[in-house]
This record gives sequence, C-alpha cells and structure tokens, in this order.
Amino acid sequence: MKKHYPVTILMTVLIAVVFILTTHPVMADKDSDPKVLIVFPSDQKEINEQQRILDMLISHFTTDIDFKQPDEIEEHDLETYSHVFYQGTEKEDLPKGFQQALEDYEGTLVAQGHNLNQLGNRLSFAVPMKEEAYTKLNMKANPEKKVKTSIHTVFNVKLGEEAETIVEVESGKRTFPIVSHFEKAYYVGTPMIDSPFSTFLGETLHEVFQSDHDSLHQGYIRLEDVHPLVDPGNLRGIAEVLKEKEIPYMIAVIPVYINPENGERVHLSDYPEVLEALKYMQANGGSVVLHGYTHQYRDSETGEGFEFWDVKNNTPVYIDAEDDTPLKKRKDFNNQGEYESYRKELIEFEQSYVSGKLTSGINELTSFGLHPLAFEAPHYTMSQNGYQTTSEYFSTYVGQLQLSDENWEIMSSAPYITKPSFLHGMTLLPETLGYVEPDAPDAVDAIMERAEQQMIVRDGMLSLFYHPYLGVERFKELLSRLETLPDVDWINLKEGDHSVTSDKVNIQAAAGKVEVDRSQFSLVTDSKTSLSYFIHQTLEKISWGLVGTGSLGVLFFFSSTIISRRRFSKIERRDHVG
Amino acid sequence: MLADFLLYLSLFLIWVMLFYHMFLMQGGYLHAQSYRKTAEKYLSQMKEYPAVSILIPAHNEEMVIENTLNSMVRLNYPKDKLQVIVINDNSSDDTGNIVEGYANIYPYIKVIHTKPPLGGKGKSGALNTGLKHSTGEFIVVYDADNTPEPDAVTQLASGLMNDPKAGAVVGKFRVTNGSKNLLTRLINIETITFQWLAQAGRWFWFKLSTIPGTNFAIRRSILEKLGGWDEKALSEDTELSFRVYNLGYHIRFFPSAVTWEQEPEMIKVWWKQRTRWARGNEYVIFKYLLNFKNMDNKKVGLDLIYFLFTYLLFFGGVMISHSIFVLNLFFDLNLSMGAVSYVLLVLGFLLFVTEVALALSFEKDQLTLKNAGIILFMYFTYSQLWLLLVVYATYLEAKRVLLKQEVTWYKTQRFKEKETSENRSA
Repeated sequence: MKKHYPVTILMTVLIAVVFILTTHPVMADKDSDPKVLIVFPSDQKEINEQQRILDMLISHFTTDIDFKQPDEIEEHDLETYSHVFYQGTEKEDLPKGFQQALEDYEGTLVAQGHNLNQLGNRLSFAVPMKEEAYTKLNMKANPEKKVKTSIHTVFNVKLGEEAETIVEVESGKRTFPIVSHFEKAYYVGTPMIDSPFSTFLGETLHEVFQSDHDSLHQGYIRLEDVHPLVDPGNLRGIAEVLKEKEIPYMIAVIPVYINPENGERVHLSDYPEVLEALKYMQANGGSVVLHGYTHQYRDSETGEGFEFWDVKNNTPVYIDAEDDTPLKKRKDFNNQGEYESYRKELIEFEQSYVSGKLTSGINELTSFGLHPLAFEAPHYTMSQNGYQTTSEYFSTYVGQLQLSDENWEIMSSAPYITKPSFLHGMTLLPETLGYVEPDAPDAVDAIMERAEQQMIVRDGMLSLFYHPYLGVERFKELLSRLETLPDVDWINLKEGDHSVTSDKVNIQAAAGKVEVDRSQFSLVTDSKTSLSYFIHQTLEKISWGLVGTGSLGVLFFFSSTIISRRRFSKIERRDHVG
Repeated sequence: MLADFLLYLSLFLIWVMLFYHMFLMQGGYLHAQSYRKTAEKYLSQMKEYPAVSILIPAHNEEMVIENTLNSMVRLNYPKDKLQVIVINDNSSDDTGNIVEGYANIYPYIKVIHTKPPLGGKGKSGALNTGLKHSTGEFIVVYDADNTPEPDAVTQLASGLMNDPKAGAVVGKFRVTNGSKNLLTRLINIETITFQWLAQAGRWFWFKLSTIPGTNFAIRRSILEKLGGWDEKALSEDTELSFRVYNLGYHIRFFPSAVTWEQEPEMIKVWWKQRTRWARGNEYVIFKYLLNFKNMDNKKVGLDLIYFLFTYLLFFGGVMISHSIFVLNLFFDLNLSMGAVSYVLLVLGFLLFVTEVALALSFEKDQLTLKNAGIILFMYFTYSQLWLLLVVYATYLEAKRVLLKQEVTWYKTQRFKEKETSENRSA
C-alpha cells in the first residue's frame, strides 16, 4: 500500500488541477452575469405588459431578473443587484425605505418615467421639466441612426453639465433628451415603452450592460401558414430559390387543415405532394416550426382562426369550443375560495388544451418525418399560462409575444434575440419586420423601412414572414430587396441549440444536426393518421424495393438471353463444322 | 382506403409470385447450362439396358397413332429389352386395327383392347390396365400423339439407372405444329417457358418437378407400391408426382430426352384441354391440402403452396388489380399509391417478356423476331385467357363436388398432320 502513496498524491493533484481548469471559467462567468431588479409601481396587482417589455429588452443580456414593488424594498435590499430598473409608469409617493435603499445603492441605476424627483442624488443630473411632443428620434452619438414617428411625448429634463444624452428626440427645431446618463445612473424620459422607442432603448441597454455584442444582424425568413392544402408547387418554387441562394429559412407548419364548412379534417398525409415538398425543404435549408395544430379554435378556418386565444370572450382558452356557457366572474361566487378554485379549473383546462395540441402537433409531424424545432402561436396569441405550458415542450419560440392576459392585442416584439422570464426558459427569435401584405403594393418598402429601424440596434434582428400562396415571383422580388441589406446572418435553426420534447419524441438540434429520439412504435400508434401514414410509407418503400429487385431481374434475364443465344449459335457452328 | 388496401394486397400477392418465378427462371437458366454434361456422363456410365415397358393409352387416335408407332419402331433401344403396349381404350374408330397391324409386324408391340365396364374410364384406368400387362423394370408413358426422338427412351432409362434417388425421370416435350397458326405458336412458347421455368427451375433448386403425362419413365416398383394411377384424378400426372415425392423420391427433369407432340389448333379444343388440367390441379390441391399432415415428404408443400398460390392468391391478386385498373379508368378511386404502381405494372410485363425470351433462347431457332413479337402479344391476350379458364374450371370443379358428378375424360381432339413439322430435328 505504501508504495502507492506518491501516486495517489499525484493523482489527487492532477484531478484538482483538471477540476479547477474546467470549472473556473464557468464560475467566472456566473460572477460577471448581471443581476437585475425591476421595480414597478406599488398599486399594481401584478406584473403587466410594461414590465414584460422591459423584461424582453433586458433578457438579451441576462436572465437573472427579479421583480419587486417599492414597498417590498428595505435598506440594503438592492446591494445584491448589479442593475436596478425603476419603472415609474404611475405617479406615486415612494416609501422612505426604498428611497434610502436607492441612496445607498452603488450599482447601475436606470429610472424611467414618473417620480424622478423622489429618486435621490444619483438622478439629480436630470431636473424634470414639462412634457413635450416629438416626431423624431435619434442616437445622439450617431445622428444617422434616426427614425420618424407619429406624435409621442417625452418627459423633458434639464441635464447637468457632466450628464450626457444618449437618445435624443426632436420636434421641429427643438431637441430633448429621452435617454440620458451621468456615470452609472440613467434616466429614461417616458413612462411607457413602445415602438419605435423600444428599439433605441434596446441599443442603449448595450451601454447600460457594457456588453461586447458584435455588430451583426441576424435574421430569418419564415414561410407562413403552411397547411395541407397549400400549393406544393409554390413551396418547391420558393425552396429552390432559397436553396440556390443558400439562405436557410423556417417553415411555419400547421399539421391539420379543418374545412370550416363541414368540419372535415385534412392531414399532411392526405396530401403527399405537400408533405414531400416539406421534406424536401427540410432537407435543403428549411426548418420546421410548429404553427399550432389546427390554427383555429371555434369553427373558423385553418390559418384564419386563433388557436390559443378565445377571441369571442377575449380570454385564454378556458372552455371547450362547443361549450357556450359564459365565463363566470368574481361576483358570481360567494367567497374568494370558491372563485379561486374555479380559476384553477380554468387554468388547468387551458394547460391540458395547450398540451394536447402541442403533443399532437409534435407527434404527428414527427411521424411524417418532419422535425419541428420551434413553436409559433397562431396570430402570436397565447396567455402567460400558455407560454409556461409551451416551455415544457419547446426550447425556442418564434414570432412576437402577447404581453397581457386581458387583451390579445397587446403584443410586442423584441429588437433582438432574448429570453424573457415569462417564457420560462424559451428563447425568443423575434419577428421584427412584418410580412408581405397581399393587397399592399408597397409592402416590401414598408419591410425595408422597418429593417432600417432595426439596424439602429447593433445586433437588431431582421426577420419577416411570407405566405407561400403569394407565389414564387413576389418572393423573388422580396428576396432581391432583402439582398440589398448589409450582410444578414440568416438563422438556421438546425445550427442552433434547439430542442423539442413530447411524451414520445425528443428532438435536439445542434451544430447542423437534428437528432430525433423517439419511440417509433408508440409514435406511429399515437393516432390513426400517424399509423396509416406509417403503413403507407412502409408499403411504398417495399414497393420500390420490389421495383429494384424486379429491375435487377429484368436486367439479368435480358443479359442471360443474349449470352445464351450467343452460346447456342457457337455450339451450332461447332456442331456444323464438326 | 379500401381500394388502396386491395391494390397493395393484390400487388404483393402478384409480386410474391413474380419473385418466385424469377427465382425459378434463374434455376432453369443454370440447369440449361449444365444438363448436357450430366446426360453425357450418364450415358457413358450406362453398362446395360434395363427392360422398359412403354405404355400408350389410345382412345380414338386413328389420326395420330401411326406416327407414334413409327417413332416407337425408330427408337434406338435394344428391342429385346423393349415392350410397347398400346391400350386401345374403348375406341370406336380404326385405332385398334392400325395398332394390330403394327403388332403383327413387330413382336415387341402389343395391343390391349378394353371395353366398358372395365375400359373407357379415362387415361388413369387405361394406364393401370397397361401396367398389369407390362413386364419392364421401368415404365415409360407416351400419349398417343407423341413422336419421341430415337434416343428419348435411352435417355430416360439412363436417368433412372444413374440416379437411384429418382423415382421418375421426366423428359422434355416439344411442339410439332408450333408454327401452324397463332394459337399453336402461343402454345409452343408457353410449353417451352413452362418447362424451363417451372420444371427445370424447380428441379434445379428443390429436386422437384412434375410428371407431365407423357415422356417420362417411372420405376415399376414405385407404381406397384402406389397401386398405380388414381382413376379419379383428372390430371393423373400431377397427382402421381405428389405420391412419388411422398415416398421420398425425387423426380428428375431430364431435357435430353425429347418427345414431340401435337398441340390444339383450335381455341375450343385448347379450352377443353386446359379446363381439364386446371380442374385436375384444383383436385390435387384439395386432396393434398386436406391430407398435408399425413404427407411424409413435406417438400411437396412447396409445390402445394405453389399451386395454391397460383390458383387462389395469384389469381385473386390479378383479378383485383385488373378490376381496380378498369374501375380507375372510369371512376376516381383516390388511390394514394403513386408512380410506383405504374412502374410495377410495366416491370411485371418486362419480367414476363425477358423470362420467356430467356427460355426460348435455350431452344434452337426459337428466339426469333417473330416470336419476340408474339411474346409481347401473348401477355395481353393468351396469358389473360388463363383468368377466364380458372374461373370456368373452378365453377366446374365446384359443381362436380357439390353434385357428386362422375369424372369424365375429356380427350384432346387430334388433327391430321401433313408430313412432319419443319421444326423437328432429325
């Protein structure tokens, strides 16, 4: 035993060295990751769309974000945060504890909107003036980065001498700071974040977080609403164009088309040409994005209807499509307990509804040999509960996000790729440029204009979608315009780290490879459609096997015939001569 | 959906059969390459000539029997070892007298006249009668319209002599009137293909072949053990083959022993003859399918399955696929199977053509341009008639079983030949 002693020591040292070498960089990263607190008004019941927009903007830099209200904050509470955002969307009297905490806080402080004069010394570089209207925005340091807008207002401030303007707004010949800072304190002169200001704020946050992001514009082209009845000729035509130009792209696939007139369900397996076109696309630069299962909820047409939002009630999908009973309100219950258990039922219904649709979509597409790598909700509508449920299936969300459970129309995009808290781990690949509107002759001009705006952000996303029914020619026009943009890095989902999981399938994309882990048997027996597709495919394969073997037979018999005939005439000749 | 299912089902049934045929044809090809050597070796090893009895059942054969007897006289076989027995089975024509004439000149030719109730019961009965009067160690059977080549019996005997495991040796038959008209041309092509594909192919792979009813030699000992021919069987040959296998013997296909025979020149005659064969095969299928467990040589199962497949599954498959094809011309059946079904259709045709062409290439002067054309034509006409034939035969068999009818011998009508055919080799 003793002889081995030095060896043991050596091994221990080696292991320790290896351990330090391999773990240290990770630990270092963890230390330097910003830790963010967003403070929102005291009389708000819960987080609303304004916090979510800010969340979307900040999550580009860090996913470590807490939300608190001023009255929850005591002295020293802020010390653990590297960045504190105060969202003054409402006028209010800030509690003393919070004011004191701000006074003591030494990290980066970003204040927005109201209550500027209660925020203490660090923000004294900005003295509130009156509200002013503006119609233009630009980056102060780079006036070329500018945008015209409809009339908005800014909380004008008079800046101290050392303070600097980062974003400037303009009304006629007058200019006002809308984002300004002195050292690590920033003031944002608007209570609400909306477009196009959010773009400028997004760019500014790179300074706030002192990020080293490259100036590189990623982007994507998404072929939208591809369901079984789409013209496969258009799909192939567009696929060829993109393949030739080596542009990867996404295909938003709806697996089932429901005829609104008779309720008949049509699957991709019923339209083999469409399915084959999709497989071709998937093999040649396209990545499938699940775009709902039927893209409808009540009796609307596939591609037109909402699937994860009850538009009639303007609520999440809380009841069966057939169910006409109106949703109950708090006043319909005797006590809070009863109401809460009713709410719980609704939320559970929604969860199982979303789960069911996603599971069907993932399993059905996979059984057809299509591998969805991300999800996009029809019309971008989904509740917060829906996003949480979706995050159990998808690692990646594509499109824009609905920010309120009260109204589907409140939705927003981020200027760049981000991982907002309310997506529960999903990465958002935002859609930023819109789409080619069928009836708008200058639709592409509008897209190009939005692209200009997106390029204000150093890593602003340039992403749009196109409906294949518009045809190949219009797509070519669009593409030739997009090619005038400087170097776009078109996103290939297969290159990224994306995963999709259902009860039967596990899809993992990384470095250009898509690994599909599935239980084939349970997958094909998942639904009648999958099973019959599987049987058809197998039979078709066997049939081609027959063709192969049969062809070999024909070839063999044909050549044997020639050989045999030659040999016969040789024997004949020999016999004759002999 | 149903149409889809049926289409796939029929395609697979058909293709199982086509693959089996491909496999057999390969065997046939290999056998065609090697059989001459075997025959030469066997002949060189034959030290003495065994006693052979040739049985020729004849029922109203006055048109052809003379040719047959002439070819018997021309046989290169020691006449002291040869016995030719013509069973004149209830003939009402001049057959008896013609044979008597030969019997008077040639001592080894013998004639037995039978009348009902003992005679006139069909070929099996006649053969059994002949067997009783025969003395040879080997029994050779020829139909009354056959003209074997002079070496045919020697070849058959050498086969049995050299191969103790062979219960019977089957020679090849060729068609004398093969270029008489379109029908006989088709039959000629069919018989050549049948023998090289089914007989030679099965012999090569499984050491199985079917006794064809003419031009074969069988050991007397076996016939005695089996109690002769089954008089109820319509195609006594297939039936006998099964019983020979069952004793553990194989049946050697020996193409060096060649006989020439006349084939029907009129479609009506052909139809009757083929109906009899088809019914005979159906009889065998049922007789042995029901008794399969009791069979000692399970290899017969291969043939049984083959027959079963041909008459039931392949037939069914072709019928379904034809129906779907026709229906699809008039209605949209919404078939999901795409191009592959058409490719298979064309490929099936090409397989047929190349296989038949290969079989023809083994025979002198048969793979001609004209015959090539006939092969193409054959697929769409002659081969399709087979479908109707099976339907008709099945109908008759079903009727016979249900109504417990007696079996009658549909004798194939003969045609008077002008001199011997130009096809004949010397």
